[in-house]
Amino acid sequence: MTFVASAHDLPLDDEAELVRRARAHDPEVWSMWHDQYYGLVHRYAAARLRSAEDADDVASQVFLEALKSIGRFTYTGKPVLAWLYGIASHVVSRHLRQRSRDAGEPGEAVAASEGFEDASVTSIEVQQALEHLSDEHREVLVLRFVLGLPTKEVAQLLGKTEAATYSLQVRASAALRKRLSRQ
Amino acid sequence: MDNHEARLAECLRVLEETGDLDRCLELYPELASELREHTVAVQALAALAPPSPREQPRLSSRRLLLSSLASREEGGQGLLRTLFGKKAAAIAAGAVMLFAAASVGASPIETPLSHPVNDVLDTLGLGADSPGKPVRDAVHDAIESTDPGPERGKAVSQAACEAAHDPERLPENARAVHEEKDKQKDCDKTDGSESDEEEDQGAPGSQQQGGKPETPPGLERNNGNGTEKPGASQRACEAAGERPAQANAGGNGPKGPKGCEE
Repeated sequence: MTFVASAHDLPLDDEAELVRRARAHDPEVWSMWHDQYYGLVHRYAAARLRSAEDADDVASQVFLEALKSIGRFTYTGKPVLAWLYGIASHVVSRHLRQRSRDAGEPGEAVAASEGFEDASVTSIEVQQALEHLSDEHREVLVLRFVLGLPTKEVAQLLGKTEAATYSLQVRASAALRKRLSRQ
Repeated sequence: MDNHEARLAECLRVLEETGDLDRCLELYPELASELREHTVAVQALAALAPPSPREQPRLSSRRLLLSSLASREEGGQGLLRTLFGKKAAAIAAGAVMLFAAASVGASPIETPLSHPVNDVLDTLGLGADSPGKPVRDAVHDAIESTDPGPERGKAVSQAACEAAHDPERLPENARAVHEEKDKQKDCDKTDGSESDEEEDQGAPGSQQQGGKPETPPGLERNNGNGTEKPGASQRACEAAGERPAQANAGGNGPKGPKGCEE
């Protein structure tokens, strides 16, 4: 997936114009964004929530929240997807906190695996280990190795340089292995 | 960043670009053990890859987004709908109908072709763009040609009945069915029993397999093929007949369904 090159096949300069039109509630722009980014937003949510149905709700919620907050969004040259991803990360975390409260135990937050064929103990352990990492470590591992985004795109989503993102991968991978060895 | 981390980071870059682990090991043989562990972790992470989103939720999400967008465009109207929902809309519609009934039948203030009248007709499936336009026009003509009071109620109900039963004014596909019906019988009836009977005879397309109408009797809307005309006309008769009855609580005007009698 290469959102930098494929983002509406427009130069990034034009993304500023798209943001302006989105602020004016232009349905064409919102439709286009939904068509282009729903898949990644959904997959990100599904990877963290381990529930296709919850991911459906969260992905939909992300776009509604984006619509609600577009007036406060200032385009600074970062891809719109990075902004959407930030909203997605926030909504997923909120959803997980709610799930934890409902379940009564923090460990239960990632145990829901309905809709996923691979719900083996190992997968659940890895998922739980991920959720215990720092936000930065978890995000880089999910984006790079679960969703398979190229480091260049991960760097843009996280607002880092590529070199810093490779280093972050190293540290995050070590943290995950350490966490798994403890479980 | 220490040297060890920098070498590992470089190794990950080479691995991503070439997909060749051996190349990394050639460059940094001392990292073999850690690279192996990293590879195992990456494989475990890759196993968490979620399935692709399903089409139906994606479409629902898109629809929801666009409808939310439309609501925002509508501004206060959208906000009202969000805040008060369908109940408020139903109450508002009821209030409009009551107001229309009062203004058509007995209001001393002239309100020719006022909006509430159109709303009532729209509710009955007789809107300007519907096949019930002739009925709508007849109702408006009757309103214009009479003074406020009981006589207007009678005139409106009679005009609505006649227009609804005039084969010349019906859509083509409804004429054949409707010619068999007795106009006077429909206009004279005082309860809903005959309406059900007529629908049983003439409108197979408007029923479900079990033989029951899909919508509650009296609430059916014109579906454009003419088969629901009797239901719509009956509602027009009743509504028109009730206007003076409601407005003239003292009993000066025709009461209830008798507005369809002549």
